[in-house]
Amino acid sequence: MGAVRGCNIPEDLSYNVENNAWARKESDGTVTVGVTSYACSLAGEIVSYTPKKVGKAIEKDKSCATVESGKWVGPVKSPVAGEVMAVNEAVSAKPGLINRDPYGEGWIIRLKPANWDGDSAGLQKGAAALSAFEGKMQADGFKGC
Amino acid sequence: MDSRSEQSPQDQYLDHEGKTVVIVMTSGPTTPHRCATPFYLGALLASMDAEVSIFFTMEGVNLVKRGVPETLTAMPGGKRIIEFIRDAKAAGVKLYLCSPALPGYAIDPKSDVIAEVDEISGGGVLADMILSSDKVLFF
Repeated sequence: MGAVRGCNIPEDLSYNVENNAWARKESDGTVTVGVTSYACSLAGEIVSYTPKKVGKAIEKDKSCATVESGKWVGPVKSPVAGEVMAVNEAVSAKPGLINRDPYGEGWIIRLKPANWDGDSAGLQKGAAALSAFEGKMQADGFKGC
Repeated sequence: MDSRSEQSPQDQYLDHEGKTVVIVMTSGPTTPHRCATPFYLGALLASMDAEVSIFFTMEGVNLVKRGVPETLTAMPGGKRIIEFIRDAKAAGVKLYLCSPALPGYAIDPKSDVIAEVDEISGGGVLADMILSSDKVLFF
């Protein structure tokens, strides 16, 4: 399990570091998308989650959901393109799940990927992802989770 | 549990891609409590795929004068206005500054304007935005 400045960054996920988002290919071929613990730390307690509807096509790096905390609002940009297969009802009921378990129960959306191989090739994994997050935190002046 | 905090599946959206919104920002440092929410709302609208422009005019031009948003907060001890502006930019909002308003506030467009502003424009650009946008909001 990787960590950067106290932020949990699992090394088995694929990241768009700039957008603070991750993607994971599941055994059934779908892709789960979420946000990083670093994003959660920046946003604070998330109080609202508005995903796109099931069936909607999402372009790579475009908004698949909107999340709000008391002091921040922004899009979750999907690291890969695809069609929305499922939204997270548990997070709809309790958006703070995103903060408490960003890589597990706090997932944002499940997609049927349009081009996983092509899109994921541009994402960062493992030690390279940890290094890229360290660089981003340095540039952002982020002290730690 | 307070049922008002719960969301239903209706709280999902298809998209609003192609919708355009212009927020005309006339409030400035003399009314700091009016200076944060418009950026928050702009970020929210942009996050939902709308194309959002914020146009600073009248006293609003002072919000993008170097040294002002870096220290100004809407509420005592709150987040600085520059951070709200940067969040809006990160969500995709474009920032326009009204050039005819600048002399009245002694703002030099070459040296006094924060880097976050995308374009310094005349009133005709604002008029065009107002006439062509799906929604126009004034703050």
